[in-house]
Amino acid sequence: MAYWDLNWYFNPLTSQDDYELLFQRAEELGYRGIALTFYQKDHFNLGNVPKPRTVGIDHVLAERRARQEKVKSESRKKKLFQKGQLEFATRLAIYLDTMEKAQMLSLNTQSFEFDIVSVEPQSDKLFQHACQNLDVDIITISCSEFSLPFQLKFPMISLAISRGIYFEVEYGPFISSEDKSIQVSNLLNLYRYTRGKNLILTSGMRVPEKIKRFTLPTLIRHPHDLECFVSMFGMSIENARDTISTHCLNVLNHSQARRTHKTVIDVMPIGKINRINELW
Amino acid sequence: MVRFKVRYVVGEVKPAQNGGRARFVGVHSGIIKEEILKVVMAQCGSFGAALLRPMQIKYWNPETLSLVIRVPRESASVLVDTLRIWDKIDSHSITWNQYHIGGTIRSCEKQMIQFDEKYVIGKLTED
Repeated sequence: MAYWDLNWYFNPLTSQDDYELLFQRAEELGYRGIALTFYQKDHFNLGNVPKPRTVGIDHVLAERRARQEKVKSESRKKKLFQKGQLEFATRLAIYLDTMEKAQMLSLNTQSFEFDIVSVEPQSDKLFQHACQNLDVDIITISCSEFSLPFQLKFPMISLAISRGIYFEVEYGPFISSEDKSIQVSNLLNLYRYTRGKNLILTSGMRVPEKIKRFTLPTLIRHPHDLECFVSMFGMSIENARDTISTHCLNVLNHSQARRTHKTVIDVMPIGKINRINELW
Repeated sequence: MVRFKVRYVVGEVKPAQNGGRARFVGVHSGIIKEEILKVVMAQCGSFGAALLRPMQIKYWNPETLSLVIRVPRESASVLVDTLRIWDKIDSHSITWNQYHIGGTIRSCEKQMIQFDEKYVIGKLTED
């Protein structure tokens, strides 16, 4: 079972060693891969679309790959067992509060260099636009607000599901906030509309500047913990498991199809190929 | 097609002391909802409070102290069990008498009419 966490909010001020702590923790817990998210709240235009290398994500991942290669070559020399290594994806999360941003997104998301593109709509109209027209992979629904900025409607949600868009819920606020009733109520409402279909669960972890070992359990949880947590809201354990495994893989496939304009053949540089799984 | 099933809980609030009805004249449905949620929070925690967040006070009569509460069907049992231990409104002691629990407001209306008839007859015979 391949568990993925598709939302770690990237912090450029965090050191590489602190990132290594988090990556090791994710490996220990059994995660197959994680996605580092750049959160775009300000306005941007086609001229200055954020990219993984300008934001700093590429640098962190390159360092990580270098260290992994070093560990791999050392264990090969000592003929030690090499366990599976963490895979990475990059994600752009857009705070969708104006129609201008939505129109700009509807023109062009294929050229974004991030693997996954997600939006967080802030009104009824924008939510409808995101479900009907936008070429994105995930719609984030923030459960920590007292009332959602838009009303959930069956036709819109069914349309988004038929287009292959997934709805994301972050479990971080459930751990950190004092009054959890608001989050639980919003999540129950969302589950009532989606019935667990096309729902993904992510940590929504905002990577802190300095990481201490004793805070790691509050940042990432074991996948089995999350299965039990989600099944509390009426889902079966199998469906709960899908929210952190199968659905996440489907999101990655959807993002690949989106970037390749749903063609059969794709061309990419050798450096971007996942060496473990795909290099011939 | 009915997608969301609800339950309507009909009952009466009885003041613990005789002649205490006059104290509830200024009490409105917002205060009732807050008091019920406080009890739910104490008994069932955040999860229970979240289950009952969509609860609505459909009818509250401060004269007859009758109450109709609308709640999602899945949370009806949590509400009914919590109302049994509800004992305070705005620092006044009360007890809860449940008369009816139904799926439609029409069935609640019939119960409320019967309740009001008994209340009026009771008032007339007192005088």
